[in-house]
Amino acid sequence: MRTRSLRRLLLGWLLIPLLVLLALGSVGTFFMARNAANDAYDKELLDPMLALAQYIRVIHGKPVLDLPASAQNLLLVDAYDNIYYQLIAADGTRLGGNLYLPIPAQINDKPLFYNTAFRGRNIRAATLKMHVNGGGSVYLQVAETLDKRDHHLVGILAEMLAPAVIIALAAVLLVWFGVRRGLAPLQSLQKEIAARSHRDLRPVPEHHAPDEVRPVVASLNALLARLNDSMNGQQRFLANAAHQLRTPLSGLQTQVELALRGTMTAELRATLTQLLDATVRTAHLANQLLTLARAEPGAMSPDAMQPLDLHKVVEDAAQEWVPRAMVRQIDLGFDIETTLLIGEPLLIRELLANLIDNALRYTPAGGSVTVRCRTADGPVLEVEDNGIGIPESQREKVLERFHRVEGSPGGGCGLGLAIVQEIARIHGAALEITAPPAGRGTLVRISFPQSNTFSNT
Amino acid sequence: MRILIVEDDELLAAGLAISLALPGYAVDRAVSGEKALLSLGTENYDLVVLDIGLPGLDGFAVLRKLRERGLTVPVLILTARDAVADRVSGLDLGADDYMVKPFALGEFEARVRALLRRGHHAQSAKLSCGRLTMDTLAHRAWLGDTQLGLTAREWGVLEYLLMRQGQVLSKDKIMQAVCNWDEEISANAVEVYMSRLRAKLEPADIKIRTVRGFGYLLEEAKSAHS
Repeated sequence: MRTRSLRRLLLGWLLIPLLVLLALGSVGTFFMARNAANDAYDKELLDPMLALAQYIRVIHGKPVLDLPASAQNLLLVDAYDNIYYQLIAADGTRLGGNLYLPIPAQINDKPLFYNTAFRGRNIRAATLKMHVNGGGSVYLQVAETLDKRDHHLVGILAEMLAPAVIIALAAVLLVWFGVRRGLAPLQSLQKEIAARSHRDLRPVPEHHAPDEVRPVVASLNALLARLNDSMNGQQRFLANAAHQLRTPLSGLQTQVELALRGTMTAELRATLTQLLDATVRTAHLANQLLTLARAEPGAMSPDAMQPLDLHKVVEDAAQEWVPRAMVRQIDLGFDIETTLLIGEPLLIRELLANLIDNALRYTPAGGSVTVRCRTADGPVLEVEDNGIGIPESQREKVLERFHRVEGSPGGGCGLGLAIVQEIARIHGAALEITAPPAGRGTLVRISFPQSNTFSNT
Repeated sequence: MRILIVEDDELLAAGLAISLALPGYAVDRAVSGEKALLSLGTENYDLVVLDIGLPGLDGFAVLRKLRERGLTVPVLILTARDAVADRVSGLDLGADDYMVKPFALGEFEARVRALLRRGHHAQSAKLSCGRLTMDTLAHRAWLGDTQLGLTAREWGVLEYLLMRQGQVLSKDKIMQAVCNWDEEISANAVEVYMSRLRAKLEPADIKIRTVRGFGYLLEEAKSAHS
């Protein structure tokens, strides 16, 4: 079965029969009105007939229509139609008048009305059988052209058409509006679901939904709940795995660092140095995976968002990163002012840590890295370096997980900017990678939304 | 100086113990919370390195108990978790510093030194960095054998820096620490004191680094780096 729009289905089933009914009703009414009008005109046609009957005389045993010219004008002149008459004897002899019509076969004492043609025009005729005193029976015929009736018919039609069209239009509008109103809860439900962030796995409120749709919503909610559970399970697993990795890696790193302090052959030193590098990289990867897991949908409770000052976050980060920058002989500087925003403190810290870490990794010794925060249109966080930079063609790609710019140094795991982007997205912030005004290096700018009303899921 | 390392991971505990034994600290180890509390009852320590994720009694519980006993020994917390809540509850319970695993050994040693220095300073009045010594009671400072002449302001700034060697200090914090009730000093004044102190400390190869747009950092003396 083809899936159709419910609205179109309802409109089709309601509107088409309704319009057909309306049309049939109109046609019926039209015919009834026409018949009523016809009857009325027929009755009027009897007037000249009865008047003419007054003028029938029997002269020498023969009925004669003795119609003075004045009476003829009076009786037989009509504003619209031509009126004709004829008097015929029972045997068919024409006795007078200006009409030449045969006598209808079955005729009794009542006037018979019928349509026929005369002189090339349609006429309505009436024939009456009369008994003349002393002259036997005669037939009196009167007929009129149809101008008046036709004219009236056009009038009826015109008068009926306008209301019929208005009623039809009103019906269409009402049905359309009614269907629309009836389907409004569905539409609002659809909008609510469509407007959801992919992180929002809370159940759809069932009480908004009409009875007919509630089972669908309930099933959807059950699915969402299962999805949420399975995502939470994955989150927990990933977080646990990363936690479990940290302690042994920490021991390994400590031991290798200790070993490197002793005296040894250059060969062994090179091996141990590689081992240390690999350990540090693995630890970094475990940390990054943990951070990414934390930034995933469902990982964060909505109340984790709280007001914080970027100035303070950067100050804290300075404690950690200035000594590391000094080891790498990079001038890590700051240009910070009070910058308030609503965010998840740990994630904002990770975002900044990843930006600084990246800048330090890809800036050679002697270079400089600057961290800025300020309030422009909204809170803004920037990290600028004068290092190797990111080619324009790579600026989209570096946001992909595990993507590393080919041939780049630094030993990163390719998750840093993906984490930054994920955290920015949670906060409704825009991530922008450009070259600094000075030309060389990379400038990463995170622009947080002005209002605090961003998605808190 | 005696240090207690409470860590159940053998590899890490052994590595930390060796790294702290090298510069001459006495190091004891405990592999559980219960054993740590036992050791803390019998021995006086200058520092406790405490893992949070211990089997049985966890690090938070140990910290709470030792503070309940009235022990003021500095505590450096180690954890494989890094939730802000953990950090806050750790510091609320009276931890003095906090490190997330894994960490570089150098950073660990620097934190240990800073904590020992702070604890030590609480007991004695002497501060030192390389050839510089400062007696805060006698209000005298020496570079080696030569007495160092310092104005009251310079003294205040230098004392503040010496107590926080290896830490990045914002200009604001320095200003707040040095200014009196009645008079404030400006950021420019801090710069002036720094340049004077640099000139006076240069012969002893003691460096005050400028952290651009932020503040200053007194580098730990090279000799202290093992």
